[in-house]
Amino acid sequence: MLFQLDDITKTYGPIRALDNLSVSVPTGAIGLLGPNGSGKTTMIRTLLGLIPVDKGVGEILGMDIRRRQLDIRREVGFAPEDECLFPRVVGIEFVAYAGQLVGMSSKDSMQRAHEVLDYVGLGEARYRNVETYSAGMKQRIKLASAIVHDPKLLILDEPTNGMDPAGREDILELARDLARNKGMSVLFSSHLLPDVEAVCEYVVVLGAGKVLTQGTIQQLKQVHNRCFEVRLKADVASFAHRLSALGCITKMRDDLLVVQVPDGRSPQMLWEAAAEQRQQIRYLRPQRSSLEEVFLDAVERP
Amino acid sequence: MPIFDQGYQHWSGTLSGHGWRWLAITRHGVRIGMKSWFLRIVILLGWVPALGLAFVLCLWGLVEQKSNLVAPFLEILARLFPQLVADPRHYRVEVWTICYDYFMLTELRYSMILIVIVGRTLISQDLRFNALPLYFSRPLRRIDYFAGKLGVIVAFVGMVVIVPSLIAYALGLLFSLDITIVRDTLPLLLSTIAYGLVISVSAGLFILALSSLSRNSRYIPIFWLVIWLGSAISGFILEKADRG
Repeated sequence: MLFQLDDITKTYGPIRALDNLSVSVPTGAIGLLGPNGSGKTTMIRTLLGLIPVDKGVGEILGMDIRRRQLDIRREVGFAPEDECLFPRVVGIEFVAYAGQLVGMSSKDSMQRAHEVLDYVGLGEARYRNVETYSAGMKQRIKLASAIVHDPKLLILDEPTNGMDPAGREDILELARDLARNKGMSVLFSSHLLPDVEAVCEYVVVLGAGKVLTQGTIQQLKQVHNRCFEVRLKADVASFAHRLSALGCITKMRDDLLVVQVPDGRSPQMLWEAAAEQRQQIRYLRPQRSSLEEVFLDAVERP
Repeated sequence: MPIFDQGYQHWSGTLSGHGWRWLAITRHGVRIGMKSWFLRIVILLGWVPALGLAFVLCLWGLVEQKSNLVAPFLEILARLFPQLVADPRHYRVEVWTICYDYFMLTELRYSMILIVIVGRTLISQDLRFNALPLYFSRPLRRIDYFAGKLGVIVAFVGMVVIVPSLIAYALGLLFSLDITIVRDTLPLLLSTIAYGLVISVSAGLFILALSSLSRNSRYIPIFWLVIWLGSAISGFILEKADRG
């Protein structure tokens, strides 16, 4: 188990940021999803022991979040969402200093800083003042400083915010590599569903301080037995009209016709209807929810 | 990607305990401070009074020995203060105390300038660059952060007050060639160290408090100057009123 929270409540004045939150998450790459104000950042701060909670207990990497905050922060690497820098340093000093703050010796931290800067692709910029870095480079150096001490868990809070597509893809690739090939657990908080899907195997969706849904992405994107995605060679409108007459529910999504067949009917009726109309079906497969649909479904569920 | 790139490697070193974590902040602060040529010059200038102190103590050591090296000076001194030259060891403590008194008075004023140069950016720059989340997401308590920042000020003040006074003391001792000087003047040395620590800790706490008030470190010297001069003027007026 990576972390477990039981009945955690955190209030800021009249606002309940975490509302009797209970969640248990396995090791691996975990996506933390939720709309603004859903409690993602508060949950991360709670996990790191940065804020006291009003009620509840929890463990992260087997350590009590209320008693062993400093030990937790030794084992966890955190890259905050906001732009934050140690001032007046060059890249290599930035990362080495981050290592020294965790307890690495000067020699170890400097050697390790060189390694991780190469890994995140900042090797060429290691002697440049970090204040002159671009937004993408600042995200990378935050990542480098979070992994300098080789943490067991890496927490990335909105790591692709404000990045260009190429930089974003690089960060996702690094996070994916750390999670899948280097055995590091990653908690990836983002509101960008494709980013989460690209890195994580497991997601937790938060809303109003509660867990709305959680599970592996594979499980959540369940196959719909009665819904199919169809692409035709020619006239989609007349085919949709014919299927509606046969009791199907149809809707267009991009260039695909999504068809829900009536109870007790098989996709064979789609082939038959196409044959009747002399249409060619070019593509037919059972519909699978996208992560976006899963997210919207969870958030909008009363 | 270069052919020798090995990608991410796990690290299996050991991490130190929490007790000395503040020292990492102090070391970093001193290193960053020493990058500034302006600060390096200020520190070098801070050594000028110490050179004067060392010179006088060494001279006095030679006077005590009635060395030929200072014969012309002894002649002048004998005309001005014959009893001083007759038995210089009798006046040792007074001479050393006066020298250290002038030195500490000069360095007190100088430290006020040094502290504002060093201290104004210590917290305000962290606020400006939003560095606090980077600190506190690591195994660091607020007291560690604060002690680390205060350590930077103590280190710099120590460089111009405590270290030079220790060196001057050692030089004075060497030139006097008399071990009894330790017995006579050790309290003076300890007082000097304590005075340096009191200056750096009290003024350091104050400049850190000021530094934490603003993200813009330019305003802090103004606050500092106003409070320094204001308190000096108030003290002067109150003293006059008390005597009057």
